[in-house]
Amino acid sequence: MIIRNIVLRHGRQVIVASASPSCCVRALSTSTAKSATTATAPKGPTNVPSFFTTPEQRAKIAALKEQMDKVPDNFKEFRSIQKKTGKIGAVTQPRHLPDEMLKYPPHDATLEMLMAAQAHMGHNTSLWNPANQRYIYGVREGIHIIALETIAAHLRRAAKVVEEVAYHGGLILFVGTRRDQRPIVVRAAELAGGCHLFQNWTPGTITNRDQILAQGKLRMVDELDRDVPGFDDHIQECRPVIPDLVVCLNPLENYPMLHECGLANVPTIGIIDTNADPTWVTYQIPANDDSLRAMALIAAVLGRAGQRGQERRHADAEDGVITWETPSDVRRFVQNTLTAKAQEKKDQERQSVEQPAWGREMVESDEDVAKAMKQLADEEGI
Amino acid sequence: MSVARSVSPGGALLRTSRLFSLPAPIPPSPTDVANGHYGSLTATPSFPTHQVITTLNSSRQRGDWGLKRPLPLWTTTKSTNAMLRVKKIDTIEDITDFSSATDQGLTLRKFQELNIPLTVPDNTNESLRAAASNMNLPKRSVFEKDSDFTAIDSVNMIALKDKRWKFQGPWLGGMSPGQFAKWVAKSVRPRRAEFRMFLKQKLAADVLQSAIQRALDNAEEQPEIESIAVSDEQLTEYLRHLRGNPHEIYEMVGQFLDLAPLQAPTETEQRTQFSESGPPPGLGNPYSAHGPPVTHPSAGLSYLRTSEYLDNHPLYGPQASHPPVLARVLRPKRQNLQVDAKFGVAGFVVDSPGGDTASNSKFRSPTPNGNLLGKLDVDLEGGAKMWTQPTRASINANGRVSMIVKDARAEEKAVAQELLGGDKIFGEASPPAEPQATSVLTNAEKIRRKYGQGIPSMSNAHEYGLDGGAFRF
Repeated sequence: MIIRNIVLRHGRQVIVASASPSCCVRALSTSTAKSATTATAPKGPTNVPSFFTTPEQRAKIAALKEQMDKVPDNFKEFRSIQKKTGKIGAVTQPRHLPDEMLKYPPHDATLEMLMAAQAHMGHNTSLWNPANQRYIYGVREGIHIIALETIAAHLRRAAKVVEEVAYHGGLILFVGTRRDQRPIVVRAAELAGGCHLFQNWTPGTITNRDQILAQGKLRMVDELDRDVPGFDDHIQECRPVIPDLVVCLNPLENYPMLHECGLANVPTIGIIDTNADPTWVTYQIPANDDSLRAMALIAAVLGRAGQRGQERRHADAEDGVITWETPSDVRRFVQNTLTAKAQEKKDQERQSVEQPAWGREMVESDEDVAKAMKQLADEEGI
Repeated sequence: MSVARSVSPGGALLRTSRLFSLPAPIPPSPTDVANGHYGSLTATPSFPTHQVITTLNSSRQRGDWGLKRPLPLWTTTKSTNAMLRVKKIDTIEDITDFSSATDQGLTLRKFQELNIPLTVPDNTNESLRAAASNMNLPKRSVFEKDSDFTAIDSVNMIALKDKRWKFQGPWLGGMSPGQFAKWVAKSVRPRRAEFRMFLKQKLAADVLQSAIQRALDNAEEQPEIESIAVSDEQLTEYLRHLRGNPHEIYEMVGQFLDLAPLQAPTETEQRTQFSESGPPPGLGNPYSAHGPPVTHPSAGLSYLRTSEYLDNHPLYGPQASHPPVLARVLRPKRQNLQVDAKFGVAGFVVDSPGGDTASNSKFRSPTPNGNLLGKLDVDLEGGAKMWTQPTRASINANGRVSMIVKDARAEEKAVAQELLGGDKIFGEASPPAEPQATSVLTNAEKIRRKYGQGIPSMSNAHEYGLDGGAFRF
């Protein structure tokens, strides 16, 4: 510490020595250099310009110059001391951040991260569900230990599922209904561009969604997630959407939801602790569902996977590759609208010369839909 | 040679994890189990049985203790010190069974502040008497080479009988007749044939030894080991010989069952019971009087080898003794009932200094100390406290710490109080003297008179000397 102060002091000297005169002397030194090159400078004892006439001024400038001449040596000495003493003292170690997984979500979970997050701790051996036997590595301290490799493998598989669902424009729902899981599911949904649920699942939200989600808002978007106008009539008619993938952090408390997902053919990803039934979900991630750190890690990895999928989807959409198909009801609506427009036009122009050619075409492919929508928009002057 | 088993990467990782390296709880002291420590509401277990775990403060605020689930904040964030003991990581009720371990954790810290080593117990009357006097010689630490035995091979087990503290067999002195009968019936009787074989080997070794000696004496060729054979008749004869020789049979049985040594008989006992020969050999074991300890003789409390070092005071230089510690008077002395006072030092109950000392004077007029010890002063805030000097500590047979303290000298007390922010003595003209000897009392002495040897509670301005300097004593 003392040595460090010395360096500081030396450094300050150098800085003072170099900085304070330099503001006013800079012009002088350049002028001397110039004069030296042009060889027109007076060869006097001092190369001070002649407008400094009084001896006091000249002496002052000479002193400043002397000080300036010391700067390289001072600087050299400063650097040498810095080199010698730079490694002395404390080194700041990386600190443990409890919120690390939420702030800097990782793209993949290593075995070390899973172990540090307590993902391997199962339940009391008396509470196990024997269907989870293949995930269990052994027994320690009265609890089952889940194999870290199994967790990592299942987590990667689930991450792949999330990524591909996001890539194909699916709607991902993150569910964690325990109290402290709220920030975790919100962050994961934010990353993956999905939805989150941290309160109780209202039974029937999928099977009876026409009633329960009747007030829910819908948007029609294009391949770049921009709102598409002209679908207000259709939005009023169509049924509420269901998620294309559900990620559940606590399957034990959410059996009704998982059951409804099963009825609606919605794939599910669930964290399966040793006391949970792995058949409730489509893709199991065997892990400790009680630890918030494990939940944060797994949700972060899945959220990152969703983020990757969305980014890939957007990049492809920019290149003109659309990774999803227009739903059949939307396609039907577009077809009907076009037909109605054509009919209207035909009625209006019954006596006129010709019919518009495009009204007769069938809307079959996604390109047709896009073209038709563009024409509609042009027509309406939007 | 065992072939190293291949372990999966995750398995290798788990082996190094902190959860897996938590030591298994040790069995509680047999006395705790017998009493159930329910006899008293304030009784504490003899020694901790579970590992104390801790966590970072930032993690504690989130309930993260590295266990299966976050622990409830209500019960784990109240204490200043993050210390828990976990009894079960997960129970069938789906909870983590834990309790606060601040009591034992802080006791350990306080004990380690005393800077005294754990010594081999020496409970003879002479040593207790010496402990109270100034002729208290330092005792050997349990980590000295001649008493620290944790892994012994079978050859050395017999040779080190007088020094080691761990034995396979029980300590007969601590068994009740019922326990003894049960033990004999269950553990000893089935091993009769084994004992005969043991004796046969001993006899063969003896015969071989005597044959070798005879050969040496007669300058003959050394006998071959194969030639030594002990017949059944010889063994029966040897048994008859042993039966008539209690020391020898005790030795043989002790070696066979690895019994913990017993205390040497008193002179009277020797005259009556061991009249035939001298006292039985090998009775010098320090644990023979009260039985071997249930834990390691250090109990993990301190790993110091000695306390023979000099303390350096920033102003007064090297000190003759270590800084004294404040002891709480847990129970005053009751002269009529011949009951000595009990102190609480660093969380342990200790006996007041024995013998005729300043705090325990039989004949002198009662000093403030004597008053403090003589009666229970309920008006004293925080209870009576005294400065004491712990000299040594050892672990007794039940695993409890028995510490020996002596009175702190006046100079030590004054210096310690000054360090604690009490009255300034540095730079004063006269050195601190005994209160009886001086008529002009220093502020320190005035306070000491009022509060005994305890420090002032510093709970009001008066005690800080802020009421105009006028002391109203």
